[in-house]
Amino acid sequence: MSEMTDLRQVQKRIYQMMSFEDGLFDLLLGTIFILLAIYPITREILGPEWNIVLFLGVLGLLVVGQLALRYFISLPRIGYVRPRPSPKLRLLAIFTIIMVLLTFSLLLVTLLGPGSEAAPSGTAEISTERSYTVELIVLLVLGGLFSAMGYIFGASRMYLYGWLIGLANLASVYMTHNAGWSFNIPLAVVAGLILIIGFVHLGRFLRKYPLRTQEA
Amino acid sequence: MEGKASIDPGLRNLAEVDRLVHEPARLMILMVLYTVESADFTFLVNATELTDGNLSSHLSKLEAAGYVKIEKGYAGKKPRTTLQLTEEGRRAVEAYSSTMQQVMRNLSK
Repeated sequence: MSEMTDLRQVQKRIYQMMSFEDGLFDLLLGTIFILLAIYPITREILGPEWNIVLFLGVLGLLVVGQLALRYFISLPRIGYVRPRPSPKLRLLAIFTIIMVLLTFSLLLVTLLGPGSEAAPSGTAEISTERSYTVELIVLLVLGGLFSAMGYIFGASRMYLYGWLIGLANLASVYMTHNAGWSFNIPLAVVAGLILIIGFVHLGRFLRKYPLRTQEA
Repeated sequence: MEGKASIDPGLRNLAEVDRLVHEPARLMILMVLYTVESADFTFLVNATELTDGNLSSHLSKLEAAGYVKIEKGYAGKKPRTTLQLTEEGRRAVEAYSSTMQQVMRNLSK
């Protein structure tokens, strides 16, 4: 039977249409990682406590903004759909939430931990003692999580995101520690790439699904 | 009579396929609705890539057969048509899938 008559493929396509086709998830992801990339700079300006307040505040605004954009821009174009409740779907939702929380916890530990503090410019120290176990775990968790998301939701670009973010995180921590970089440049580059991909998908989405004036 | 008796069981299966489900556009509609709880008209247009008129016509036939429930309502001030597969429709898709699998198995021998 052809691909279109495979119910799992149909379901995957529906998940993809609901979650990733508009590029809003990419835009949210890219912005979060931009925030994480500039975290050392804002921390230096604001201090650790206010920086966390700023980070969480902006994160909250981004999530609310994304939901609003989805409600006002995506849904009227793509249409409304209620997924069929199933134990598998619930399990998947719980698994996704746990993995996302775990990923962000690990990322915050790596980026905000004492070992990640940037050395002042001009005083870069070469250290061979620091272990990168946490960053390697983050890399594997991110790679695994995003690959699973890509497979389940049929969004192949998620495979790329997971491994790129994991590697950029490792490179950022390495460069901060060994070269005294005060700005997570590799993470910012990857975040910028994700944002560009997000904008391309959003543009394509808006062209492909124009706003419908009335239903037949 | 003699001819009927010699019909291959696989071919007989094919003759018994529900023609309402077998039509490609309707099969697409039913498969999309089978995998979700409900969807609106716009989503179904996008998922099946059928034109509004074509989709409406197929939905009317499916509704008449009792396979699809159509509810017309409003989302704010905008009209919204919500579509859902009925239990009968669900059974029809499952019966069709089982028959076609049987036919395909016989064909591949």
